[in-house]
Amino acid sequence: MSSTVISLAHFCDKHGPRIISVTQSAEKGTLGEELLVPDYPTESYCESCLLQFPEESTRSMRCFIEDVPFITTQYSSIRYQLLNSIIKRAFSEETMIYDNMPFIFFDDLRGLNLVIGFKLYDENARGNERRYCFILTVDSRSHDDSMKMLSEHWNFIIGGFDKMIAYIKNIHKSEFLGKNKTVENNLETLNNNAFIGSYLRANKSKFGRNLVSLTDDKFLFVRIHKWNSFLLHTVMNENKLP
Amino acid sequence: MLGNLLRNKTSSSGFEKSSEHSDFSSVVPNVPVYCKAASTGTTKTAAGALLDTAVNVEKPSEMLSTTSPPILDHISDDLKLKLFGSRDIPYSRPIDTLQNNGGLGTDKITSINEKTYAFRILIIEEAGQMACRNNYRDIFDYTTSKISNSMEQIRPSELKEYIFGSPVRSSDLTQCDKIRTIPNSDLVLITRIFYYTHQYNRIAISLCIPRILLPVVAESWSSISSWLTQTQKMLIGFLTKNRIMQENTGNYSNNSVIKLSNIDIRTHYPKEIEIMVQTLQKRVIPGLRSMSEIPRLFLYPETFKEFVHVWFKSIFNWIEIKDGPKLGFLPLLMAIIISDYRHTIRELKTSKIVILSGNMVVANKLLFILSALLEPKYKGQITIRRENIRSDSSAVSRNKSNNNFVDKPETELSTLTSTDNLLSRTENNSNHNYNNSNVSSNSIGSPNFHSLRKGWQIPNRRNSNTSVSVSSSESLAEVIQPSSFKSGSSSLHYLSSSISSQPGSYGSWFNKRPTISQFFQPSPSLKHNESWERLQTTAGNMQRTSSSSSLQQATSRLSLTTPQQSPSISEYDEYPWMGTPGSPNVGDVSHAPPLVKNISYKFPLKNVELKRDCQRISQDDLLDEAFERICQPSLADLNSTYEIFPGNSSYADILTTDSDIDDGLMNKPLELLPKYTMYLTHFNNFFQLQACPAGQESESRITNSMKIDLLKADYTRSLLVSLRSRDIRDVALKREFTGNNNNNSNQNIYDENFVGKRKYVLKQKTRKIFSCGKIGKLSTSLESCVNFVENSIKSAMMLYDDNGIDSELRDSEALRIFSSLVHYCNAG
Repeated sequence: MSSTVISLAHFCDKHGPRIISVTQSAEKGTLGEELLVPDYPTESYCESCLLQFPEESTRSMRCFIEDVPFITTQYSSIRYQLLNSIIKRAFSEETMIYDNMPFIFFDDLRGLNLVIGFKLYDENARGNERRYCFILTVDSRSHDDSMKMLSEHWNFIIGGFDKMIAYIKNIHKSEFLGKNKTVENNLETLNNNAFIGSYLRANKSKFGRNLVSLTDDKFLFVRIHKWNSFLLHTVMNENKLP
Repeated sequence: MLGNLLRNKTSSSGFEKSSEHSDFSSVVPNVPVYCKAASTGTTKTAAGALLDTAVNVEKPSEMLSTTSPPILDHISDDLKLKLFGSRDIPYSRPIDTLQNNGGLGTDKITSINEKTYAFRILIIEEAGQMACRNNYRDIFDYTTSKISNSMEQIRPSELKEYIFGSPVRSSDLTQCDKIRTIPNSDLVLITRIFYYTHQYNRIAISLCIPRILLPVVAESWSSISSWLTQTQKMLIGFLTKNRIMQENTGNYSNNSVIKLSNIDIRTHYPKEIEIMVQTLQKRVIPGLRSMSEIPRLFLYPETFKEFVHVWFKSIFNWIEIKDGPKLGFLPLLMAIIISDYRHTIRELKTSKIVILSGNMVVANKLLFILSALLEPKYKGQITIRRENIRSDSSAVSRNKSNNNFVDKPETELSTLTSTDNLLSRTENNSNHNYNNSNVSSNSIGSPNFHSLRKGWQIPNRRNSNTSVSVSSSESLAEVIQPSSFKSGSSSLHYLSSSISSQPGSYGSWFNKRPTISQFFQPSPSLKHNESWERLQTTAGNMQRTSSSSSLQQATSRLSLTTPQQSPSISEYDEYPWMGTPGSPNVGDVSHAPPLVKNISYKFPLKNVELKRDCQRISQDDLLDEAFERICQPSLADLNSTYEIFPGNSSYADILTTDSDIDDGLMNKPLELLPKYTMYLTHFNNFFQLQACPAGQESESRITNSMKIDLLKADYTRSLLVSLRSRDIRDVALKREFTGNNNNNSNQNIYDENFVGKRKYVLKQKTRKIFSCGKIGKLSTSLESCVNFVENSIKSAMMLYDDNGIDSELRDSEALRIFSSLVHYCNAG
């Protein structure tokens, strides 16, 4: 099992820092069954925290790259606490800036983490924005080795995260514009809502929205899963070389 | 009311120009960053900015206006292509999308100036009084320069937010390191937070450096973290001393918190503080800079035939002009590297190959030859600009059967570890990526291309391989100061060779790039040849007397008083490069009959287009392609790309996606380039392959650096190649401990000031492999390797000499010979 993990987390209006999806890999040649999760009730997650699958019954996504299973789930059963402490750290304990710039922290408990934050405009969210981040975690105590990995793949990792973030932002924008036919109209709405929203409107009008609905892409998480698997595979692959 | 006003205002500024199809970004212009919507008026802007970043991503990145290191100004485009795989080597190439998102890539960051040396050290202590305004106390705040400096303008109180984060936190007492950028400031903040005995007594050591250094922070982490550890130890030392003092005076109780803020460290420990700052200034920051600013060599894939041709031709030229047929210097040097140093460099990270020479051009040519023998080579595809399409993609495959054309026993001695692979890979490789739609604007496709790096720059002609080694303009002279300048006779020699600019005369500086002053000569719009002549004749203040200079040249070459030991060794700026337009024909040069006569030499690497910066290869294209293929953003329905795998009692249904990633994407080629570089004005300890000026200074620097390396390891080696005296020395340095005193658990280079040194003796062994034009005593394995190299070169010469040979066959044979050299195995 590799120690490298990619997660997508967000800061929920109701629940605070939450993991939305975790992509992990298992031993080569196995099915990665220890990473799969049982059927949990999706109602226990609020709309904005939920990892929404295109198929109702599924709870995990899996692909094999060169016989290594990569599995994406809503939560990690084997690294639950670790990831929770990481996102708490990223969102609450540190001053997080959502400017697409990498933020790296590491200690002996949490390993090395590279965080890139971004946010999406959503008038239904608190402060009219939803805040997310992608986190690359190297669950290792050897800071030098993790740093070496990071240094060898710096452009790849940051560019890779950025690629997905740009995609999400792009389709979010077209979803946003598509709903509000023209630019003017849309701006008008935006302005009105914003004005009322942050001043007069009570918080009850805020409700959770899923990334899938924000982007209007039913397969968004499938894409995220595939992309994360590719990134993880590449990063791990090079590391194995002598 | 206010809302209406604001709306009107924005609509007048924004909507005027926005049509229905306009970008969202044009509606909300110039919003640099998202600012929190505190007032109602800015909310719109905020939303605009949020969407704005997404819109910007769509634009293709044309911004390559990054600057290159000045040392590259002296290198011709051809040589740049040979050494670096690109003509354009900016300090740091921002990641495309980040650049547009207001990230790394503004002009501000990529221009290097004195500010880059700036840093700021902050030591802050948390007092453990969360409710108090003075919860954080500055212990130490040091900034390098006092001139208006963005670094200093940031108040510590703002920095504290990034250093400490929220005061409410989980209570694990683990030490933590952080690297982050500070918004709107072009700064990177590196922080270590640790505790001393008490939970609320957090102490932070912070280092602010310019953001341009961010990509190298990870690579140089060991030195940064050493510094942090050193500083941490120092602070803990202060605290402990303080506690002991308090204990002695009876003031200390178990509950009292020992605080740094009670100690005036500047007055009590000036020496330690000085060492801390100096270590950063002298070691860490220069290290970071050399990593980020010195361009690293690009090692072409061994299956890239254009490169292999250029490489062989470089060897022939070297032997022909620098070595002569009898000297055997280059084959020996190559043999040492392929039989020994290739492995040493890989295994022993402190080992080095250093070329000592007063002449940058010659040294760089040798570096090109030698670097090809080293690992790790790039394994990805090389993008070639479209104009160069030839029907060569199927060439290699058809020649598979004729593989044994040059049937020489010597070449078969080689252990061809990858011949089979090689050929198949060559097939793949020769299908070069022709569909590069994003040919950058600065690559001009005419055969006699000019380099237009900046829009305002007058194009200079760079169609030959010559370049300037000695510059006449002041700013350039800063960069290149061959040590040979210092001695009178050799400077005379240099002067003479640089003065004689008669095109066509041997040793002349026939294609000297114009200097700045020359750029301002009248009529730059003349046709190139003419303007060139004109620039040459009117240029500068030098009195050009070509006849006398050639006389000088002759005397300096033959005189016994010159420092050169052999007349054939004198290092001219340039040697004629065969067949290049604008350079004299090899046949004209009477001294040395050309060894390889009939190569119609076009520089085949001229269309190579590698996106890179000083230390890394750009990953943008790879990521773009991978994203297209893997995530299929254009596909609305991914139903067909997955299937449902039924679950069981322990897990629910699984959505199984296909993973049709092809090999090209599967094995990402090297991103971070190895630590090999070009000719530097000073020896740099960071690089394993480099050239630097000959002379005592360089040699003592090398020895010193080897000694410093030995603080971390027990053994190190360097191969010193002196071009002037033509000698090759293999210097090994070993330390042997004489006694085991002191606690030396952490053998850290920086700890020497704090931890007692262990006693050891350094033992040096120097092996002269080549000295005074003579080959020293060689081991049998080395000798057979030398024979092998010589034979390979000979067969390559025959290959290129043979007019009748099919060009495809020549390609495959050249690749084979090169591969046998690169994979030479001692045991075989």
